[in-house]
Amino acid sequence: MTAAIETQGLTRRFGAVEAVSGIDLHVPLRSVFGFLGRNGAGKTTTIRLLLGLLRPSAGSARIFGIDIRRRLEAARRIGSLVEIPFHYDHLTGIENLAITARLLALPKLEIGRVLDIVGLAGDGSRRVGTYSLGMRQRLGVARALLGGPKLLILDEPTNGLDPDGIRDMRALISSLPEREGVTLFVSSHVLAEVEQTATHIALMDKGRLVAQGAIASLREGARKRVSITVRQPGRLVALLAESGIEAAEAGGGRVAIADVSAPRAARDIAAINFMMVEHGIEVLGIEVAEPSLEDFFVASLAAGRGNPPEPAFTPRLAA
Amino acid sequence: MFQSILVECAKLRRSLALLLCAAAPTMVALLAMVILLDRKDPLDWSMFSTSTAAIWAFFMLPMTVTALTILMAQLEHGARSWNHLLALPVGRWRHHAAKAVVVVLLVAAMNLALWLMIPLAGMAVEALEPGRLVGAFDWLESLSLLGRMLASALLLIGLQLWVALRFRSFVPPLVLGIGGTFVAVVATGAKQGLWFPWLMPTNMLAADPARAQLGLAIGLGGGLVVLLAMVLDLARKEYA
Repeated sequence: MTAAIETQGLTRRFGAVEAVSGIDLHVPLRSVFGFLGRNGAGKTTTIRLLLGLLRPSAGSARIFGIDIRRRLEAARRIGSLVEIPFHYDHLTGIENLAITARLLALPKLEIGRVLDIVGLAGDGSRRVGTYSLGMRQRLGVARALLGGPKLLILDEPTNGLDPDGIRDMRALISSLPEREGVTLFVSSHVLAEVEQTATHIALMDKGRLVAQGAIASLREGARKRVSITVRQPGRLVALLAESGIEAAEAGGGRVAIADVSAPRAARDIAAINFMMVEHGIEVLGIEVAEPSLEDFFVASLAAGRGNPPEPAFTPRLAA
Repeated sequence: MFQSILVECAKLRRSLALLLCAAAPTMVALLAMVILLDRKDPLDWSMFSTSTAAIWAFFMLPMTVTALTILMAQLEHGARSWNHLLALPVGRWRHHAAKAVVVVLLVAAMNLALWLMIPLAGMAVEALEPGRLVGAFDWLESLSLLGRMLASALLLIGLQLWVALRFRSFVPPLVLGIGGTFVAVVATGAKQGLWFPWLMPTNMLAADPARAQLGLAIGLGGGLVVLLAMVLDLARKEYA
């Protein structure tokens, strides 16, 4: 099946600096694709390449199978919001949308439809200069939705928003695939945001694509964090060491265990529990923490830079 | 293309650009009134019309074009809307060409407004102090002069708009406009003034018809070439 976005060796250089280095992205249809990376990792440059605002130095990109060099054809399928969406402050929300609607030869009804989707139907007649940042962001999404594009590219849509604004934007993003049948490509440097909305992620670091895939499968491969609270933590650590399991005391009677991989976690924990009972170690509690995207993020970045990955477990996290 | 022009017009609603377009010819007409009231001798209507047009061509037109093109460009730079506009499935040249058309239309509207304000200013002075003007106002001659000034200003409009659209900062086009107008003011009579874009509208007042004709050809022809080059250049520009 054709992917929403497919890039091959996509590269962009600015002089001697390689902002995007040969990335191979695969964004499945109807996915909410989180495009992660720190500031300066190359996310916005990649988005500009996909939108045709920049030309690639090497490589290629396809939107629904259409080469981005056929810009007009590819652009017909994309709605975008790049960085903080600025609008014409002296115009109302409706007038702002009317500008894009007229350029796309859309009927006026379309403006009401998109305002309704983003929850700004009651504020369309107000001048945008009076809008809050959250409302401006939502107006930016409304503008991107004009004409019913099949791919929405949103660059840091929660940037600068307060917690309420972030919650509203998250709810809006989550609702769009079902409501509008779109594929969402959302860049962010806030892991927690992406973790709550995305079905797939890709991780960029220094212009390189470090990892990508479905969140579920990435988590599956990640290590779970296990913390066991016992009366004799020192004895348990020694016992585990004898069995070849790396563990450490974490204070308060807790023993932290690393290297429990997700697919066999339940079996391992059951075995450890059996061993504790067998040796008369009184167990006060067993805590298993699901691996977070942060764990994956940190480990992938470390691996991408050739550093040994940080331990998946830290006593702080296991508490 | 027509839709793009309508879009550019829609962006001007409640903007300062329209205020500027109303204020510039009004200020020239008011200044002409003050100068006329200050004179001791009566003045011929034709001379009043020409000298008012000269004030316009000499200083106010280049400065207004500078301000107007900056305001038009800053509508997009300030709102950082290029990212949005240029990612739309619309030919990029249309955005820039529409801007050029609207700027030229606004300058034409200002010239037209001045054409109407010159006789109004004269009549106002006559009402205050009868006998200040002698003869009759020649509507056609005035319209023709202001029309030639507009056509010859196309070159400076093209240059100012190109620089204003190319740079996100308003400083380069402002420096260009102030510098161009300053040189035009101090070098009006210079031989080289024949080729200087900011002097083309003033050249329409030249006593030598050949100089005026050449100025019109350079201003109009050069303006069309510059505007075409601007559209081609900006359509290829990358937005990092």
